[in-house]
Amino acid sequence: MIRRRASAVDLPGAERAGRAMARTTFLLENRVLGVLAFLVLLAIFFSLVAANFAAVANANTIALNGSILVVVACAEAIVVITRNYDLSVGSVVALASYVGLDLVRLHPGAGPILVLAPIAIGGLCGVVNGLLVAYGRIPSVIATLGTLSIFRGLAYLYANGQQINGKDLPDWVAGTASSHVFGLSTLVLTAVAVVALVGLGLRYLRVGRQIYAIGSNPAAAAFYGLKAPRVVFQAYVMCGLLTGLAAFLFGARAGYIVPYLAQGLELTALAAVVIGGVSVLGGSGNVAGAAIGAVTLATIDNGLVLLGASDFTRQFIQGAAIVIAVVVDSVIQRRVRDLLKLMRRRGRVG
Amino acid sequence: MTVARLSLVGISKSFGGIEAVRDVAFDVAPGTIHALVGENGAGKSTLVKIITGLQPADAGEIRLDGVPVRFRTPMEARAAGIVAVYQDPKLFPHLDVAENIFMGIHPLSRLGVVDRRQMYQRARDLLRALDVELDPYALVAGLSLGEVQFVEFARAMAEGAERLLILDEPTAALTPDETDRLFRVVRRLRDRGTAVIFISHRLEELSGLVDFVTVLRDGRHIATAPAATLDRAGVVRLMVGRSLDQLYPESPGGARRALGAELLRVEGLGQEGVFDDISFNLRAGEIVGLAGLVGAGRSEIAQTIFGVTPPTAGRVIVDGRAVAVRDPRQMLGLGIAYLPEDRDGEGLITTLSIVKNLVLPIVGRLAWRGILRPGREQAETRRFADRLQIKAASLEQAVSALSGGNRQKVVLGKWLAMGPRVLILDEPTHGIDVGTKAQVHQIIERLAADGIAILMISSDLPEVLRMSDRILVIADGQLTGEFGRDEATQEVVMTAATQRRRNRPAA
Repeated sequence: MIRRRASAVDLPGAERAGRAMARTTFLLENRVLGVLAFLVLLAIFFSLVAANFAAVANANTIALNGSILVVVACAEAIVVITRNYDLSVGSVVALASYVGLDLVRLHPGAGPILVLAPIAIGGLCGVVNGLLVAYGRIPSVIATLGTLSIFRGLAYLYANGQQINGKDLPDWVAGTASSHVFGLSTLVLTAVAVVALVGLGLRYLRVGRQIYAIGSNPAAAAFYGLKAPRVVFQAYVMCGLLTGLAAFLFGARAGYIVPYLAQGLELTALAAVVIGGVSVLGGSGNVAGAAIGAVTLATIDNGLVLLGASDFTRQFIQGAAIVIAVVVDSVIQRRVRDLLKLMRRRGRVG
Repeated sequence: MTVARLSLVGISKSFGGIEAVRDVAFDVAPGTIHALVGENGAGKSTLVKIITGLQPADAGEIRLDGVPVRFRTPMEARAAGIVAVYQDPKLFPHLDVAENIFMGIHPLSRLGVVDRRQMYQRARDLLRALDVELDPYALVAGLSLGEVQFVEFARAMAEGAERLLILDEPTAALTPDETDRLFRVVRRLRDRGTAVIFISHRLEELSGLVDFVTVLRDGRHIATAPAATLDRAGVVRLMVGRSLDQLYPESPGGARRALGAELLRVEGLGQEGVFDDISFNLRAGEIVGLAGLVGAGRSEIAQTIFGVTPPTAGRVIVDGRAVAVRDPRQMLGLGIAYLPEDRDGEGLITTLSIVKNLVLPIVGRLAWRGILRPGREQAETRRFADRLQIKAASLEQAVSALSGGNRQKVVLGKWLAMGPRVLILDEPTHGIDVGTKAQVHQIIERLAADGIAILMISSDLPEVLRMSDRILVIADGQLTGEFGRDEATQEVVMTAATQRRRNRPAA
């Protein structure tokens, strides 16, 4: 928790500032706990009002529905931590899953190695986004809004009015979505593995730490001599690869693949990331939070379905959740800023 | 004689025709602390940037231990053992102390992953060596500026600043206790053979710490001498030693202007932690210079009077009536205008035309029942453009296409259009060429002759001396001197500006 001791260089008369500091530090470090608490409250609420919510089978449903979103949210989180966005993830899923699974359909003999096809396509999309944002210096919202249309358009062009049916695909594709390892769904295990690997990578690789540093203060990153464009580029490529993986799972689970697959997924993923405590202003949060955010959204969705809420209601609630999460985020960020200002003044008084 | 750790030979650098440093040459021996002093704009920062590879020199050579070097990035300089610590620390607020120290140079385990245990251990060791009690797990967002400075310092140590350490005003934010601690570390480094370049505005703290002093003035190297041979007065003399006539032709003089009624008075004005106990007045037709070093709190004082950040202490009296300062809108209503220093950021909308910018604050007054009248806007702009000698192809030209001097005139015109009686100018000639500078000076004098009271913040000491009827000197958030036109010299103003706070509380 708060490991900060009162330091010896603290000045007299600064207790108020000290307390504010401790509170802010706590907020920054424990936002994930807040989301988790919210998720628990949500589960209790739905258990009380929706008859079948608390059943084991339903928990499975939530896990299955949520796991693909968890992967996409992890991908999005990497980019958001660098103080950028990727609005194209929904389109990347459509393109990668259509083209990737079409390759699988055309080469049935190649076997499960072709799971790499959608991943590679996703990675290529990440390369395009990364080049535009990191080296082309185009604001990420604009660049990825553009590629959102481009990738989706490519998917339509490639599909040429067709769709891929699950029965045309080798059995291993559908098998992946429904198989179990040690009694756990492969889908869920994949999501858990992604969260663990990305989480560890961000924490224990130099590039992972630099992803945080660049999001936290780009100007300082330049002074430190960090190669910001390269790191941002790598973040986009990672995001693309993971989205490609999600695309495979999406297609495998859907049973039939159409170019309008996963429309609006970018907003859901962004919502998961923000609800999970990753700051939209970069530099803070982690993928575990993003994953919990994704599960939270899946839970809300599931609960509302059980309650018989309409699609529109669900959209409304999801939108509201994003707005509330961003408000909470900006309040926290403002507190950090105010505090920094207070510190600066305190420093100057001497 | 040993080889110098750092040799600068004929270093020159200019920005857009303005020379920042010219033909600077001096040596820094290993195991010495070398002070680099000079007024604002003397070229200290530029020199540091050149040494550390942030900016390339136009001419000259840098030798490190006798070997010519040319760093293209700070990373290369660091790799060669040269590290700079800047006065406004640039750190990562969301990350903890240890990560800030090791970002980019994280210790790795054999597997190539970040060895966090070792990172925190080494951070703890470094902080202990610096004699600061800071938790390596503490988030930087929560540190005081003094503590942050030590994190920067630890970072420099972690990078192995074993050859040359450059400290750019490291003590500006430190308490006396922290300053002592810093000096102990600096001495220890020197004794281990590191060369240290120490930039400071607080001349009195240099004695007893530094071994050599190098003085820069107007981008030129003036002198390098053992610290023992120079006293503070001598350093000040070297810093300012130039005749005013060289720089500016004799002024028509404020003496000939008739001073009118008192328009603005501030009493005991304070902003918690920024400045305090500031009292002065301004009379119609008077030009008062606000001198001091960058960061002394001059802009903050002006912005407080203008209502950008309302004061936490003291009174502001406009036309003999006490005013509770709330916001700029209110102060504009009272006839007080403020020209910010960052004219592009705060003063102009660069993508709009001269006309649109100039009439922006009075657009409502020129309109007819809310409907804009371009003809009147044009006419009004024409009036000011002529008065201010704004040079542009057309008044519909975008402000972004204008030169710095003409931009400044547009900003001036914008505020003049409102008919202010008190005009606060923040560095009105900063970054504009000499010719335009003279024009701006003339305009300012004409405005004063028209009865406007002018408070002019300027870091250009000769300019302040030439223009002002009276000079107020701010140092460290306090008024440390007030001089009439006749008593003000570069020496007395500079001495007041480099004073340490009178009642700096001990930590």
